[in-house]
Amino acid sequence: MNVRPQMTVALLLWAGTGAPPGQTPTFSSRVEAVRVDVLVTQDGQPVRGLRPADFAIEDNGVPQQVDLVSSEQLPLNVILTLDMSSSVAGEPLGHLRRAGRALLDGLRPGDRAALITFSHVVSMGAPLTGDVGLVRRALDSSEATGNTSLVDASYAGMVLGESDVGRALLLVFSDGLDSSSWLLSEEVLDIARRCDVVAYGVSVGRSPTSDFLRDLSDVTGGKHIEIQSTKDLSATFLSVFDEFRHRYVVSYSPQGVSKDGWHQLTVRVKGRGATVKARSGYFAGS
Amino acid sequence: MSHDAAATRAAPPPSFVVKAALRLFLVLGTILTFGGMPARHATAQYEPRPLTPQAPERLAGVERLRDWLTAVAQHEPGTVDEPARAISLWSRFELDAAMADLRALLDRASGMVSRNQRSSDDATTKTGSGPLTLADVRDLLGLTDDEIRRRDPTRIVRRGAVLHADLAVFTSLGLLVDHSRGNMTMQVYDGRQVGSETRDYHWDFGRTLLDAVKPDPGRDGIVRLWYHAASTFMSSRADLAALEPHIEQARRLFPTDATVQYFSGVLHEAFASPGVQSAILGTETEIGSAELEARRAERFFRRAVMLDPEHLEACLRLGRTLGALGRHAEAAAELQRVIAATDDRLLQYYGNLCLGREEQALGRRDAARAAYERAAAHYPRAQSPYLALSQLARRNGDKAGARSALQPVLDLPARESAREDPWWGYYISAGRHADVLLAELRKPFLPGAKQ
Repeated sequence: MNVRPQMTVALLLWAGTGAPPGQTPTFSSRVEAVRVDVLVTQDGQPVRGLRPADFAIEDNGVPQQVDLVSSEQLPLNVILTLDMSSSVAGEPLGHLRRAGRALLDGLRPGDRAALITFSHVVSMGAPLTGDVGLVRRALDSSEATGNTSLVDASYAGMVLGESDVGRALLLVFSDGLDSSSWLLSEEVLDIARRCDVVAYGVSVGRSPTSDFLRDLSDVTGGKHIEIQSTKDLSATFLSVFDEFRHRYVVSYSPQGVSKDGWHQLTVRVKGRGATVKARSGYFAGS
Repeated sequence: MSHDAAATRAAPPPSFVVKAALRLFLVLGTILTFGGMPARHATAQYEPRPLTPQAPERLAGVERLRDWLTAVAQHEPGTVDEPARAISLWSRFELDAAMADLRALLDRASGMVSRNQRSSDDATTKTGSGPLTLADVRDLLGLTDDEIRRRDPTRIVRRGAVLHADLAVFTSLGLLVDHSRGNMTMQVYDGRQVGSETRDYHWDFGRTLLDAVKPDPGRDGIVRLWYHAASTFMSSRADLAALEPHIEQARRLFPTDATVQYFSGVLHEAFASPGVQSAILGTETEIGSAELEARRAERFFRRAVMLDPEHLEACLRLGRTLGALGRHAEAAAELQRVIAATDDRLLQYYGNLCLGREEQALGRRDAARAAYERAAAHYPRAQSPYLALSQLARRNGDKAGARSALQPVLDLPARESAREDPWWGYYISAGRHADVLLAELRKPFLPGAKQ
């Protein structure tokens, strides 16, 4: 089994009736469950059809009983957080709009999307909504101008993503360098470790932006993709979306561990040479 | 000090070593852009004054100097007039030659005054002109015999420096096209290099002129004001390439001037900023790491505050810099001092926003929240305080509070014109009084003013 050394662990704590829509909770309302968003691949392809018994989870080194595994049936909340600074002006803006539209076209009934755009100005183009047309119109009306507040916008996207039930995908695209954020990257990464959003970062070329997006993706159990050009951005967005759709949500009720502080998580798939990507831990109570 | 950088590869003349400096356009703030410098386009026709119409042939060799002096005398400060247009067409080499001619002429004429004799020898050999009489020199320079004897061009060079300050300002604002061709500079926008260009030579030439002020430019009020006004304007344009050599020379002339120390700190604080640090990655530059530049900034800000304890902007930036260096208790003390001492809305905003971060770092959440809320109250359409309040709540495990604190940002209109966050203009805000200082500098040289 190949567990990435830097894998990180996603978490959602919910109690009782707070289960995501479309899913029947199987645990006591008095017990907090930990939900971990997990990507399992083999030879680069998502592995499908896994059951609870296929997973092994250790919470602070203590083996846990996996209660539930769910996947594609869960609705998605997709937070598009897109760089609309001056560096995107021209052809890349067209590519970005096209890629955003392609992703929105892939949403299913029950899924929702939101649009956050940023230059130095962070703004919400569309709130989290099932009305894809609203998001599409907001995307089409966005203009590229100004500096880049990538860290501020990523934070806003995270908070928006975890404000609702369901699986949250934070897709952050930037081709610029952060030049005007107030928040510090280390502050936002610290919060990212505590929240249940999975971030996928797409950056153009090698830059400090790549470093931030790579770290953000790592700590949330997502993935960072570095592209050389925006020409094939639609394919990149669709691959992200497809991969996220095929992730598992593994939940368990913590046993034999403290209720506070940082919990280191290890997630494995038994008996397969699979690669598992998830958060490395969670803060209880955060 | 200048910088080798990638921009040096932008095809400089092969026989020259061009050192590229950095011209950094860091931020485009909503309220802190300074495009409105008081510059007026003159409608009057420029008519060169005939200095010695009775003997023009004898001045043929000093035509260049005469043209420059005429422009200096006839330029109306703050106005894009014909004298300004005429000199804007000059190259740096022509400007340097005119200054050399002025010095040489004064040297020769000084001896002539001392000996009280006519000159019919090679008095103007170095400037390549024919023989000049002392009367010609008096007419040409407009100086008294005493000034000539003392080789004192102060009245000329002060006025000349104002003309060249105007030319630098007009060029920067796009009102004139530069032909002086100074050093190569790197242009940075949004944290990345977007090109290089040869910058204008007028600030450099203005400093050269003012070095000739007698008896000591370091004790001259006009020179001091010129340096202050220029530093402020350069800061307003985020023109760090211009500010760096300028402020170094200012420190040599005015080593105990708090404003000069302050702008030295402003320069290094900007060098420490993420936008600059990102842009210089992979380039050869003398700019240090963010920490090194922050330490340099701290030294200058601290000295500025020591020289002028009432210099609240230096105090503010000292506080912010100390925070960036991880010295949060010291930072908080400086910022609290600023907040207590001013009712300036902008300083209150910056002070409280920065104080919130320091209080948070010190574990004083309630004080941090109060500081962020005060910042938000000063600029309700600014996003930074709300982002700060939201992350404060979220780091405390309060998801609902984080969402609630963020909501004002999400509710604000997307268009920039509806936003107003001074944080975006923090690095150029040190230059927000540029128009006032330039007006003050120009005032003694306006028509009808007494010098």
